[in-house]
Order: sequence, then C-alpha cells, then structure tokens
Amino acid sequence: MKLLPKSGVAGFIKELSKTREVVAPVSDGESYAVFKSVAPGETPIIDGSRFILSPRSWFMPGYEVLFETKDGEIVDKTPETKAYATIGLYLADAHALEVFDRVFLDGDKPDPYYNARRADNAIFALVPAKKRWSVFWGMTGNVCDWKKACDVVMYDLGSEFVMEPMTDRGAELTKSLADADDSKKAAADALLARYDEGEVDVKAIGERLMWDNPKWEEVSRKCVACGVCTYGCPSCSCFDMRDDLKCGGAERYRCLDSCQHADFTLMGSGYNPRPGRMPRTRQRLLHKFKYQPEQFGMIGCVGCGRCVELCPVGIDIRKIVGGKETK
Amino acid sequence: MSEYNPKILAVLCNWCSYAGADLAGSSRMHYPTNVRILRVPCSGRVDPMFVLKAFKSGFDGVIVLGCHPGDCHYAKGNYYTRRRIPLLKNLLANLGVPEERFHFEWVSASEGARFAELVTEFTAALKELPPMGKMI
Amino acid sequence: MTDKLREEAKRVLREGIAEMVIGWAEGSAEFKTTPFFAFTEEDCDRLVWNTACVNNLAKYLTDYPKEKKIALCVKPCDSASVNVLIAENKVLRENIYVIGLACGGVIDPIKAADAGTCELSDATAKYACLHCVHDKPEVADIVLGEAERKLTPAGEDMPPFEERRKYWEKEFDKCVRCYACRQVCPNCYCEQCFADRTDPKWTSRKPTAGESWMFHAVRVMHMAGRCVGCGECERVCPKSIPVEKLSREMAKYVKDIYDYTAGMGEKPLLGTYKDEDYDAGVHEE
Repeated sequence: MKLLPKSGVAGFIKELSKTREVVAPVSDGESYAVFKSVAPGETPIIDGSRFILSPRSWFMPGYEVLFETKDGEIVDKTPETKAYATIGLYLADAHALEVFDRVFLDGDKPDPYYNARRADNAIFALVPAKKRWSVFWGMTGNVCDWKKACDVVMYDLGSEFVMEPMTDRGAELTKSLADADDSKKAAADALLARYDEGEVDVKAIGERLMWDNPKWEEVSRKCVACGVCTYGCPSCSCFDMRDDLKCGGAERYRCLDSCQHADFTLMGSGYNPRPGRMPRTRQRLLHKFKYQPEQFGMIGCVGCGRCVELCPVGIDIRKIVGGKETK
Repeated sequence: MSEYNPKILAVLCNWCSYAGADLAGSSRMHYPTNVRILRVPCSGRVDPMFVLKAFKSGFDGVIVLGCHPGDCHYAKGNYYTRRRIPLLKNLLANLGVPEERFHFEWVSASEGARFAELVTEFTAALKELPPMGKMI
Repeated sequence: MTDKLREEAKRVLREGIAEMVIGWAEGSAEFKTTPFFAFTEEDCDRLVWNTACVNNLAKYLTDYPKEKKIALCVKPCDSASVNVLIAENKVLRENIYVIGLACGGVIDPIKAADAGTCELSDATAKYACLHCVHDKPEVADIVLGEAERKLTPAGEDMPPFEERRKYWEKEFDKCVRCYACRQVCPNCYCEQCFADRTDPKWTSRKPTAGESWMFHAVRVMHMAGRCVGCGECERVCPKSIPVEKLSREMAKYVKDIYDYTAGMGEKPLLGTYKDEDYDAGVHEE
C-alpha cells in the first residue's frame, strides 16, 4: 500500500496526465461535481465535500453520435481508444462498471463506443472518509470483492489517501509514492469495514420483490415518474437511439433513456405495456434486484445512494428492498 | 464576402396581413426579399413555439402581423395574441435575444404600403445586428 | 404543529370530508420528508410538518379523477398551484379540502446534507424560498400555525443582457433532458408534452444546448402566468440548472404589465383579455 498526502494530489494528477487523460469529478460553478476530463490547473473534487454525480455521464455520455452521413457517405464516429485514468469515482461506481461490462462488452458484439473509453482505463476508486447518509454499499454486495474492479483503491483518511494497488497497472502508476505503514493499512481496512454492512441475500430479495406484490401500488403512488433515479444511477444502462437530420446529411445518435418515462415502452401501434407508474417502478426494482442477478449473477444496484438523495419525492430504495439480510 | 442578408420569418394572418402582403405584391411595391412568409388562419394561431423554433433554427428575425384589434375574422383571436406577445418578448430578452429581432404589428388588408414599409424597416434594422446563428 | 395537523387530518377522514389526506411523512433522514397518502386515522399519525416538507403536493391532484374527494396539505406556494388547477378546471374546488400550513421557508435536502444540518438558514434554504412571494395560503379551508419569515430575500440574479445568451448556452448545455423539471411541476399536466411529440418535431431528444434551449424556452412560455414559483423544478434538477430563473423573471413581468400573480386570479391569464391592454408592451410609445 502507498501513501498520497492530499497536498500531493495535484502533483500526482499532473504526473499521471503525462501518460493518460485524467477523468475526475470537477465542479461546474454552483452545481454538483461532474465527471469530466480534467483540464490543466483544474482541481478535482475527491474530498467528499460535494455531491458527485455518477461517472455514467462520462462512460456513457448523454449524447453520442454513432455515425453520420455526409453527401450520401457514411462517416463512422467510433471514438479512438485512448489511455485514460479515472480518479475519484466511488468504489461502488467501480463495481457499477462491472455491471456495465456485462451489458456492453459480453457477447459476440461488444459495444465499440463504450469499449473505447473502458479498454485502457485505470480506475482509481475512492472510499470516502465520511459516509454519506444515503450510502448502502454493504447492502448490495460484498464490498471487499468490489476492489477487484479497480486498479487502485484510494482510502480517504482525512489528510491523506492510502493507495492500494490491485493490478499491475495500478502498481506501476503508483510506484513513485511513499509506502504506507501498518497503522495506515489498518485504518484503511477499518474505513472499508464501515461500508461493509453485510451482504444481502439476493434470493430472499427476489422472493420478496414479487411481480404481483400488492405493495407496488403503495410504493409507486408518490412517484412522479421523473426518472432522476435512473439518470443519476451509475449502473443504469438504458439508452435510446435516434436519427436527426442536420445540415447536409443526417446523424444517428445515442442518448439516455429511462424506464420511468411513459414513452420508454410505447410501441408504434400506440400500445404501452407499462402504462402507469406502478409497472415502471416495479420494472426498475425488479430489473436491478431480480433480472440482473439472474442474468449476470450480480445485483444491478451498487448502493451508491444517489437515487435516494436525488429522488424529489424521497422514495428510498433501501426501504423497498427491505431489511438487511446479513449472511 | 457576400453581403449579409438576414433571413426573416413573417407570420401573417390569412384575412388581413396576408391580403395586405398580397396587395403590396399586386401593386408592384418594392420590399426586400428577405422575408419568408408563413400563412396562418389567425394571429391567434401563432403559438410562441413557432417564434422560438424559428430563432432556434437560425432565422435572424421574426415578424408577426395580424388584423387590427376589433377586425379579427374570428372576433377575438388577435386579442389573445396581444396578451401573449409581450410575454414572449420578455422571455426572448431574458434569453439574450435582442428585442429588435422580434416584431409584432397590425396590418390590414388595405395596408399594402404599410407592409412593404414595415418589412423594409425591419430588414434594415436586422442588418445592423450580427447574424443570429443556428443553435445546435 | 404536527399534532394539530394530525388532528385535523383525522377529523377530515372521520367526518368523511375526504377519502384520503395527502401530506408529508418522515423520510429516510432528518432533512428529508416524503409525500404520504393517509387513508385511515392510524395513517394520520405518520403525517408531519416541518421545514423539510419541501414537496409541492398539488402535483398529485391531477392523478385522480375530479370526483374524488381529497384533502391536501399545502404551503402557501402549493396553494397557489392548487388555485391554478382550479382556474384551469383540472380540479373541482368543492371536491378538495385544503389544509393550509403557514410556512417561513423550507430546506433543500441536498444542500442540508452537504451542510450537515437541517436548520433553516439562507445557506440551506430551497433557492425559491429566497424569492418567495406568497405570504399565506391563497385557497385554504383551514390555515394551521403561524410563521415568521427569517430568510434574507435574494436579489436580482439575472445576468446583464450582453452575457445572457452565453450564460444560458452554458447552462442548457448541462441539461440531460431527463424532464424531471416537467414531471415534478404541479401545473405541467399535458397528456403528451410537446417535447415527447415526434410529429411535428418541435425539439429533438438530443441533449445539446440548442435543443435544450428550445425545450426550456417553450416550457417557460407554457408556464407564463401559471408558474407560482414553488421552485420544485429547480430543486429536482440533477444538473442544478437554474431552470426557474426565467419563469421567475416572467412572473415579475406579468405582475408589472397585467398586475396578475399566478395562482391568485380567478381566470387563467392567457385565457382572457382586456380591451384596455391595448398594445401594452407590443408597441412602445
């Protein structure tokens, strides 16, 4: 394990940016911190002082042109694979990338657009010093297992980060840093243990979240179908593809979509299999806690707590999923 | 570089202003060719969305013309428009679109000369401003 | 206050004035509350009233048929929303029982979480509360409590004219078009929003500055004379775009030229006209 004092973060990022494009949460004026390529001189917010929106906005941008036509010719817009380093995403977000990988990279047709940003990306995942009230990592999986999704795990100990390299690439990138002593290692482990509140029994949740549970009506009554839960989610991967005319041609682009919107399942015939808010709320939860475990062997929710915090009407996914079922 | 020729959308009511524009044409009056005319049944049909969409698509100016108050073919369509238009002007000002770019006037079927004059003045005023630019 | 509210809610249900009471209940944290639907007297014991009761519950009125008898807890701004719905004939006054609550401002849950306190102050208040124009609930069958406004009113926040186009371009560029601002608005009740229409295609789903400009500009226009300034749109924006700023300016202007405040009139502003508003603001003399 290595040690990075907070005063050295700027220098570390500068060093890193010589070989890789650094992506980190930066604040855009008043707003919450957003993942972006860090411009020289910009300070990323990795001290937990600000609400950080999910890194999904970078890995899967809200607007991405897939190809366009110009003078009758098709112009491919697949981005080039570059070397990136993503710093300051939560450990849960790093795990969410594993869910993304299942969706986008598994199978015989991996998604080139996502892959370009994912293939050579060193993940520096953060374990914040202060656990936000909404965070429930431990309820959705074994937090220690999630470390495998990262290159380096950064434990925030207040005045410094303990850096735990998990891969060769991570070790290479942190080799210039000083070694951490045993007391720091113990502090780091203790910090992580605070997030690991025991794993959920996936099967038990699956049984509780029944399709025909009469509780769905009650749960969804206050939902206003705004979809902020899905837009804020680091592991929601639904997108829409649309075509637009533009000067001298057309473009096909991908944009975010949300299962909470009425037109998500609206068919050309006008029939909508999920007409109300109840089936849509049910879909979001069942997808994360039932279908994805069946499909991928992992819960789709990573417990980052963003939906809990952003939901305008205070719907709490933790309460719906139910009491903690510790092992 | 060729001279900057502003593109203008003129939204004309079918019963008065369109007939006014027609009169200007059939009387062989001269007015700039910058206007593209959109005929609507009544100025009450002019949804503010038309104007916003026009600016969004890169029109440099929009002019909305309707019957004089009291003359509306549908009795009161233009009264409703008159209520809406100041609000739209205010919105455009708050979005940073200069008010010179948007014009609302009454033109009756007999006012062909007035139509030509309005369009000429409006075009001249727009030439003073930089192009609006398309918003992407 | 909470006790009084519970008593009143119980009375409403007991006497059959309404079938359900829509109010707020304890949320997942001390600075969070959540909308709550009480059907029985036991349910009423979960209702609360505090500075975290941020939601505008008028949103839920349009979810139910007009005939349903509903009791609704409102803050002054929410009651203005109710009045807009009444004026537009979306709800029937006789079928809703409005429990007004005196309010001195509410907190923004995310700001409060960042500050680590749920004490109401200028720093933790919902931004719209700093611009509040509602002193008391406009439509209310009963008003509970008294409140003192301690927040410092915010001043003019529109950038100077020359910078506006740049300013909005930057703000709208952030927009992801989640439409949360629309969904949460109690007075946005169209069955199909213009933004969801594909023919005619007023605006594309593409989240670029220009397309979002179109969406937000039209939204402001649709809310002209109807926006009551509850600030829900601004609060829920996951990108914290000041989406209410334009509506706020619009409301000031409407007050200026038509002497009309949204939610305080009998008739919708743009559904009426007066002979004397001849050329007001159309032609400058």
